[in-house]
Amino acid sequence: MGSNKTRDIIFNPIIDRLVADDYYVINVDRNGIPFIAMEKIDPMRSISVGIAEQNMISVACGLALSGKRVVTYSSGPFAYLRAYDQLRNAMCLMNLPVTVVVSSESRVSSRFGFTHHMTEDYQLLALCPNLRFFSVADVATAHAVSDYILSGVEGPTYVRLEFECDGDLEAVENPNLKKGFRKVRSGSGALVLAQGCSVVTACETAFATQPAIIDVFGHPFNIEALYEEILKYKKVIVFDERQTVGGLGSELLGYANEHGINKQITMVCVQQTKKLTETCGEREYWMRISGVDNAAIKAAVDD
Amino acid sequence: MNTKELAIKAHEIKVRFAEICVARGVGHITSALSCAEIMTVLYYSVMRYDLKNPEWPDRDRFVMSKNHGSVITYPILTDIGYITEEFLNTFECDGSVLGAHSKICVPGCEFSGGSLGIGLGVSCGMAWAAKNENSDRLVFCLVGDSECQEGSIWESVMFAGFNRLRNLVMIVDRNGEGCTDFIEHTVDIEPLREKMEGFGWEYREVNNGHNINELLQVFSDVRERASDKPLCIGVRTIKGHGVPFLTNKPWLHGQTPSGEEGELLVNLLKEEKYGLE
Repeated sequence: MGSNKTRDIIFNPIIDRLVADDYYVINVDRNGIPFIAMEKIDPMRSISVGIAEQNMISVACGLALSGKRVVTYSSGPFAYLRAYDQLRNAMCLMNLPVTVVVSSESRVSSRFGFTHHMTEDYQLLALCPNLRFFSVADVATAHAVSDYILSGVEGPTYVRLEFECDGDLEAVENPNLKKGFRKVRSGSGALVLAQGCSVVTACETAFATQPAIIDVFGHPFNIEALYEEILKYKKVIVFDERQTVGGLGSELLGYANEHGINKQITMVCVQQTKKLTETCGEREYWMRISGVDNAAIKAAVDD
Repeated sequence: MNTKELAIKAHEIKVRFAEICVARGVGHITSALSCAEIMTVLYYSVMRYDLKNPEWPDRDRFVMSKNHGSVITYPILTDIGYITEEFLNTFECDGSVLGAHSKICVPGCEFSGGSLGIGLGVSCGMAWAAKNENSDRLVFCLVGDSECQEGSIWESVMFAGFNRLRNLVMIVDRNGEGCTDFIEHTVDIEPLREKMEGFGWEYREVNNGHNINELLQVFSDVRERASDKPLCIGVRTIKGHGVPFLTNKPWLHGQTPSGEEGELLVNLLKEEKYGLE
């Protein structure tokens, strides 16, 4: 049903190394138990900015410009929506080693409505210079991203966590951050390229014939290597709880167009409709009206 | 430097600034002229830095949040030795990093600007780091008065006041004009003193930001202040100061005179005697 497991995988080692490694953690509204623990260790290293995402990123940049290792944490899409100017024009432009961790509880955000849906972070962040970003689909990726952060990130980094992505997908490949994608399921005929929650949904879907499933968890990813995989399959589907325009599918098709690759890619992504922007309900309802539920990916694969 | 020497320096800086802008046809002339004396006093009298050790951890930091005024820092950085005259002459040439908005890759520059409302928050982070290191370095941040219409400024003001960042000095260039109008006609920031004090800041006001003596006075105890509050200094200035045909004309924001008008600008600044007698 979802938990804070991936958040704790990211932050517990940072708590352990808070003082020794000169970490600073900035969060919105004293978000979550780990931050209370950090305040007890050293209140000067656990900074709450209140509900002020723009200032969160700006303060993080100032600390990074002073040689500090900075990680921010906030919920929902506001770190990249409200603070996009600060992300793009301060953190990324100055290539600062700040890690922005955002967390989404999709089960809750479906009830809260469109303002809380993280359906366009890929699109916006892919345009930011120097930025690496990750969508965490399971604990294995969370551990890999945690190791990356602890190894000392050299530039701006964004990590998307979702409460629903706290399991062990028992993927056939381990996450390789340099490559930026990993095969989660072997299969034949069709290939599903997914991210975050959609990887989990795809893995839970009962297909007539099991497709291969690749988790494109990192950006930038090795697009040449990914196309080597793509071209092995008859049918390729991008499955993503983000909107179609400017997303992973668009990026792949843009590359294909530029390189003379003739390959159709089907998009099963969030469709922006009045129902999406004006109604709310259980997560299952949201997935259904957005066109990103089990039925949608099953239809695209089995069709 | 004494008052007279600082006034002469400010004069030289303004002339050189105008020359490079007119030569390239780029630069926010009026915005830079409103803060020329502030910048001169900061760099030649107030701020602590070591040219032999530019990365000295305890150097003071300067963040030009109203970054459209940043070109005025280029002749200063040249004069004090961070960049060369040859480098200065690349201003706004194709491929140069020396642009109309300053970048962190320019020696002596601590912040990449161009988008308003960000620099004060970045300064808060710098001040927090200094405080936690028990360093006595100060962080100076210059914001525009119309920049204070940006909501993010007030997130940072509230944060700094609440967290008692006494090593943070926010200087508000109160030239009274935005891009297209006087701010009293758009969204005024008055009463600034009450606002800043309400957010837990110490507030001081300089009535004439082109008067070197007044500026020296307001900064005189900035390092040894007894208060544990961050300091805001509202400095009353004139946008386009020293050039009558550029003052009190808001639509000239971002405009750079060219041709005969450009020559006139440079000559007027050369002949300007304000503060030199």
